[in-house]
Amino acid sequence: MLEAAEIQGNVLRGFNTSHQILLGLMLPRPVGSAARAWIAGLPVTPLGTTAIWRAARREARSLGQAGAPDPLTGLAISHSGAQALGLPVAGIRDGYFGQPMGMAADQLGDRVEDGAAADYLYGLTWDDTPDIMLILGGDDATALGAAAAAILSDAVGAGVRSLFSERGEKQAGEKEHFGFKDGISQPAPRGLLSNRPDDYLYQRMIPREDPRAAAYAWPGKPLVWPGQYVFGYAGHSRSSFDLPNPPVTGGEPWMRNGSFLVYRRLRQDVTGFRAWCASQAAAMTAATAGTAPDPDAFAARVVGRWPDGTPFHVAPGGPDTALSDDVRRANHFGYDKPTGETVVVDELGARTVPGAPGDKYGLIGAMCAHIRKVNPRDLEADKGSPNDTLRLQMLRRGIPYGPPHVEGEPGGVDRGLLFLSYQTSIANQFMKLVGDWMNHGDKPERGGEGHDLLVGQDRRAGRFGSFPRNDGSLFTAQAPRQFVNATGGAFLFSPAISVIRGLIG
Amino acid sequence: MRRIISLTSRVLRGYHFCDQTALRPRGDRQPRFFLEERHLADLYGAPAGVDDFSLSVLHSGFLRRAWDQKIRAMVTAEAGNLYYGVLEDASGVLDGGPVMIPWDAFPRSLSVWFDAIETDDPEGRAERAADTLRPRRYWKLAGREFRPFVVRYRQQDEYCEWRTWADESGPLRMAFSCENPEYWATIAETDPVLLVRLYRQTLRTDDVQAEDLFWPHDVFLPGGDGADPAFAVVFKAGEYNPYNVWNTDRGLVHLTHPSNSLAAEVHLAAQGSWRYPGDEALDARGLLCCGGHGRVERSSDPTIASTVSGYARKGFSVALADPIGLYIQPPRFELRTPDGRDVSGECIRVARGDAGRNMILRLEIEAPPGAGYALSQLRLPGNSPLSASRVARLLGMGLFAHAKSIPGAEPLRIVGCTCFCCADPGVPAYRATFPNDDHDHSTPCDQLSADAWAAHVPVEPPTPGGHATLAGASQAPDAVRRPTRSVF
Repeated sequence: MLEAAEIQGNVLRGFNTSHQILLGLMLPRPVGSAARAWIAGLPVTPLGTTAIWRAARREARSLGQAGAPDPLTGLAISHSGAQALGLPVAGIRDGYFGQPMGMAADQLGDRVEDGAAADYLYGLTWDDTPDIMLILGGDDATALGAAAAAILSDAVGAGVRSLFSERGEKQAGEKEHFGFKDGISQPAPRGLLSNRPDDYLYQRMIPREDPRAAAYAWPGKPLVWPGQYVFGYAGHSRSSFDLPNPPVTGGEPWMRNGSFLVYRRLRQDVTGFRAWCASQAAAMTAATAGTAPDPDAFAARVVGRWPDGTPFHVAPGGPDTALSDDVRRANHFGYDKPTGETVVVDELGARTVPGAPGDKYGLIGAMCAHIRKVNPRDLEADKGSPNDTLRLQMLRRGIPYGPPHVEGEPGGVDRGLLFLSYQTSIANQFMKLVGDWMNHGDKPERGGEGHDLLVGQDRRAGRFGSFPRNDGSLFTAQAPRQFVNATGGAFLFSPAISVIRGLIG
Repeated sequence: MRRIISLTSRVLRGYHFCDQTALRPRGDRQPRFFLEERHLADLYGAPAGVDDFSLSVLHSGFLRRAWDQKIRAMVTAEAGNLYYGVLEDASGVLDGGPVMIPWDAFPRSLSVWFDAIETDDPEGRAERAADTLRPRRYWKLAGREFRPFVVRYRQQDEYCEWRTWADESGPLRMAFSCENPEYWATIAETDPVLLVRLYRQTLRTDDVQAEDLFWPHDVFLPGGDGADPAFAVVFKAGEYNPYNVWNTDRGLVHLTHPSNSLAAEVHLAAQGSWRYPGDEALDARGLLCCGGHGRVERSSDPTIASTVSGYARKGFSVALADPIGLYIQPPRFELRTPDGRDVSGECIRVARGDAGRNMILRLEIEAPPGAGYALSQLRLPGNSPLSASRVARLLGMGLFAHAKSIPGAEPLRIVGCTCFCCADPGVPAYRATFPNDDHDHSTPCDQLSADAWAAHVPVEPPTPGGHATLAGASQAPDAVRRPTRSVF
């Protein structure tokens, strides 16, 4: 059973609010009693409350009402913040937590000049890495802004200094700024919220007589042991989806019920991305008589999905709204083998969800497609089996920032994604996904497949990607420019709520 | 005296047979001085194209032909159906250039094992195990009696092995090698003087002596069935000893793990092209459980087999690209001093191989003279202290394969599985493959003996004054060692 009153709500379930504000804060040195009391008294939202809140919001929305007005609150601390607060850090095994993100900029593929990340607004050194970061979520922007202002006012009164304030807002259709629906594919952590036998964190919707019920909450929603995200719980085996590994520990006892949080401020160059897609679409079709360039289709090949979330290799001809609108179908596909039709019992009742074809050889969709690079699903990959791949997956809680893109707008508009991910190993989850897969042209499947051209970086060599044409030939796209640039970030830790309460000293 | 049998037992025929590591690589015993007269341009190249043969006092063409013949023996032993020798078969149309198949260098099998039994620091425990030499018992004749003796090899089974040279101050030098033992055996068979020279050059010591590298006596293994205590010769006196001290306890020149051989690679690629019963529904590891052509808990074997199988199912024939080899991929990590200076360029050296072609054979890490820092002060990404095992976690491996369509070529179809997988009784997440004598699971998993499992279980570092021990046998509480399946 999960300790739902201890684990922060944004970790395992996600606030999923329409608006979020991130407050990066610096603590006074030494951290006095006022600052400690302020932190300990923060209304950090536990997992149990978040689940109830989300259920209430669903119900309110079904009645045509707005979501609950109270902000949901998450808190994370950096290594320097933990040290300042007197939390033991010597035993923490993940070395990335002990560094400002700027120290890892080169490995992340971020632009580096004179040995330092060139585009970071913060997170370069400890001097500009927040000691603590608050994540405030709500559906009412005005109420959320007021709540944030009140919290910040109290913080300043306690001697805390503001380093940054970022405001995230969901875009129409839950799309990121390039225009693609985001957050479709997330693992489902196993676990019960209470001692009721069916009170799962993620409801099980596949009848038990189907063997897939042991591996999936619903079609396309793989069950992962919670130790991949929260310390103190069983880890996910490399060999078996239903055999738990021993509980995962971080090296210090106070880390129990906590999770590492990676925060990246990612600026998106929408104009550049679209112009590049148009040029590559033209180049891809240049040798094919009678075929008109289709920049939108090329962008879909780069992402691996159409803008509405339809997997490209499942529907290469265009979006399939019947598929993408059905949350039980949108992620129900693999690459190695076709997925069969599956009976689910959900809010619509018992029904059959159709299967989807595979594309092992990348004959339809590209092996370098973003969603395939970061999650090769049922394929054997350089790191091993599909269970090894599941172990790498993070819980992503990102939200866009900045205004929506407008055709013909002047350049230089700052927009992008406030990337947030929870995991119990920065080294083996976030860094492996980024460094070994997204930024690597020869992994995870085979040499020459290409980089993740949506978000991958490679400052060592030019980025490229191999895309299958409709006639079976391959087109190699070159992408000398990056369309996503990191402009700040931090390696943080979201402790258990009792740890926060105990900081009062 | 006990009876000595010839090299005919089944386990000797296949290098991989249901995870049972055979006694010596196939193709190792070739007629030594009856080389076919092929044009030099038509010969298989040395791994990564290294130019060792020109250092021989013999005509380099002689060594090149010897190596070519050894490769051809391996390839032709496996060729047929949808597997072909890249220099032997010019028919059909190539499906583009060679494809690199990647995998990680750190042994996945150790990660699987220790993740499943260790709570506090599974990575550290796996790394310490990776650095532990594993004993292997052979036998020799002493008078009229067979007496056992022990050789040691590295339990680093992803075709990459490493070693650290250290003194009381800490590590001085680290080497990572993916060189196959057959190549070095070929040099030993054709030019022992060159062998010694290359050992000295590679290890940078003149202490290596010829007699250190060759067996002084015949080497035996029990080879009889059941109660028949027969012994089989596996190495003859005067043959090259791949487990020699300069390749194990005192040095590292080439791979030592019995599964880390070129023959294993060729065998895996060839049998990966076969079709197995029900293979449409099997994943890569299921194929290995059925065919036994690789180790199921490795990263390399299933990945290679899966790619080859994929081509075969499309109707393509596959071949390993020339020069055939298993290669370390160019490193993509930095080494930094405590003040953050990137010293990768001055500390990381490709000692053998060709980084430009993604064919590194030997990588070394060493602080240059007068550097002003020691290896023990350097940090890997994530501020991790430098150790060879942690470097291995950051290294990628790869091999290169061709695929082409050959008209009329059909896959070999296996009618019954020759092997089956069992989960370790104490660590159910860990599986190994066993022979399926009558295609009907002749030995149920729960009746496999401890001896049958012993070859598959990792060993841990010896306790002071003790021996390397099987991992997890006594340390882990039952509650940890015996997890139950759950729908939690």
